[in-house]
Amino acid sequence: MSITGLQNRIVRRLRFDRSEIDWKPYLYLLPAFVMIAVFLAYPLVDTFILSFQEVVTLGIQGEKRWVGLANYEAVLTDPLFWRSAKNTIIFSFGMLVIPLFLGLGLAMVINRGIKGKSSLRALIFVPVVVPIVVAGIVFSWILSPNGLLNWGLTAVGLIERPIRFLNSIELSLPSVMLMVVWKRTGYYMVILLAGLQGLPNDVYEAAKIMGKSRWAMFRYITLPLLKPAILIVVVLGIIDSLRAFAHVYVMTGGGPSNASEILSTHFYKVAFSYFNFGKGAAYGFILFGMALVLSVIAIKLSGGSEI
Amino acid sequence: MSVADRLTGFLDTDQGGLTLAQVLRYIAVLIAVLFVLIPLYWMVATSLKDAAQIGVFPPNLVPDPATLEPYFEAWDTGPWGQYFINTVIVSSGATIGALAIATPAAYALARFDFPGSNPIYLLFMGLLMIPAQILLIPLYNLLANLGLVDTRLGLILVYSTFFLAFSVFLLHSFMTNLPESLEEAARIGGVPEWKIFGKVILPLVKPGLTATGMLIFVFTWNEFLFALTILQSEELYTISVGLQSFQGIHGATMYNQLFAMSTLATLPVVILFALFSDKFIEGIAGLEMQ
Repeated sequence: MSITGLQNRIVRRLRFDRSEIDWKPYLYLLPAFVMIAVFLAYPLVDTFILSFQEVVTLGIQGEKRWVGLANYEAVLTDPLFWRSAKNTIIFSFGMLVIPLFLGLGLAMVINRGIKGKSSLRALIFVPVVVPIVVAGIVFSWILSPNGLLNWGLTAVGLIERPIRFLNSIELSLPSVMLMVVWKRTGYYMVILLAGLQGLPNDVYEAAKIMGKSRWAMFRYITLPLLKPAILIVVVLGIIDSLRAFAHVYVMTGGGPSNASEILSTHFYKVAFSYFNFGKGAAYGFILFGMALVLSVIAIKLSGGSEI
Repeated sequence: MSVADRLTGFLDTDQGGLTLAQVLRYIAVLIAVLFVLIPLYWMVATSLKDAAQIGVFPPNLVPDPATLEPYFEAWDTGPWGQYFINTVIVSSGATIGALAIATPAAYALARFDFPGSNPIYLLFMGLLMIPAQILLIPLYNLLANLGLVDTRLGLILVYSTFFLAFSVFLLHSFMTNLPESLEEAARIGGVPEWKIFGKVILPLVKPGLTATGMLIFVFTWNEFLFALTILQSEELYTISVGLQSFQGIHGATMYNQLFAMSTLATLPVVILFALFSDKFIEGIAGLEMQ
């Protein structure tokens, strides 16, 4: 906190009589608390309780019975859960790792004086605002056997017969990831670019005068100073890897034979296609736990208390 | 970037010519731009083709002939106008709802020092980490009890809550950057509290509200999973659910019509982005400023 911020804080403390509670901030927070209590906290507690129950009679409102940890056991012994978990790790390369590197590269290129910087930045950001369902449909069409990509690969002589990308066990998940990279790169680029623009120029000048190599400048100046921006991207990427649903649902539906199933789509099938609400609730808490643990690890590893 | 811009870019370098690094930089940017544009071009191009040009291999790279026929044909296959109206209602409602609740909350957290302010801020951060879909079952249950399943209001309330933490997070950063003096002066001058919030803070934080509101509008416009689960009657579908349902029914046969409607679904958000791209970028970049 800045000195003036601290001063302001002290002045405010002194101005109000400490024995008398200032209710104003609580009043401002009240509507938010009510909404969170009703539409987040209550459902969260409800899911937690449901995760130890089994719905005996038909329907979600049906009669329930306590089953202890059986639902958690059912999820963790489900081979499809583990397959989806493995696929989610692979998927996170499309959601986080690849667009992070591409976004970082582009941000550095654009930051180093290219004409039309702000329009370029806006153009590369466009996929972020395209509806995910539209993106899924467009990429399905491009990747179809008589689609644009197969035409391109045939035209340059890389393949002889069209590849059925979305129906292939090996290629269906990478196909979805291609679309995800398209959608995420601009997002991360903008966050990282904002971080780069905040970097002090004179540090680079000093390094240049000292004859430091470009790599050294990147490694010891850019990267450490970009850490908060990278951390935001990593946390967003982790959460969205666990949250992504329509990406897979629209393009492959998790198929063929679960080859592109990720945790989020498998969870949806357990809860809403097989109507196994108790197991679905346990599944949901396992997902929540993963998001929380992985985000905290990311924050701790970066050694950052910045966020 | 226009050709003229690029030419001046080439000429206007300190060495007076092109270095290898610069050439590589332009190539990288060019590849990125092509990667971004090709799928969008292909969507629009396909939407302008007649049925005879769909599925032919090799594909016509340029529609020949180009026709708007798929737009009219597709429009008659379902209540598309209604889908658009629904999406506008839901997105606007959620944007207004989230901002109305998040703005006072962000104000309290950014401008007051009170017992519990730090834990409450951390709570909002924690809420951001909940993968929303895990609440599908109990939320569905709750909405059913309130009679709000299969209503636009139900979806608006859910979206407002989900974007609450995000909005507080962004608005907080806009509000902490405001100068302290105005508010202090007003307080010393005996201006009533609601007027300080309404007449001093709100006008100052308007750019932040616009940026946050744009992002919520676009994110809810594009949301799929909750719209799919909560809305069941066809006449309440949002545009994303309508598109997915059309694809499910007509499959690969009517891609020109599917893309005609996809183009229409994308156009409003892309236009909004084109008009306010600085606001969007400012909002997203605001995530980094935390």
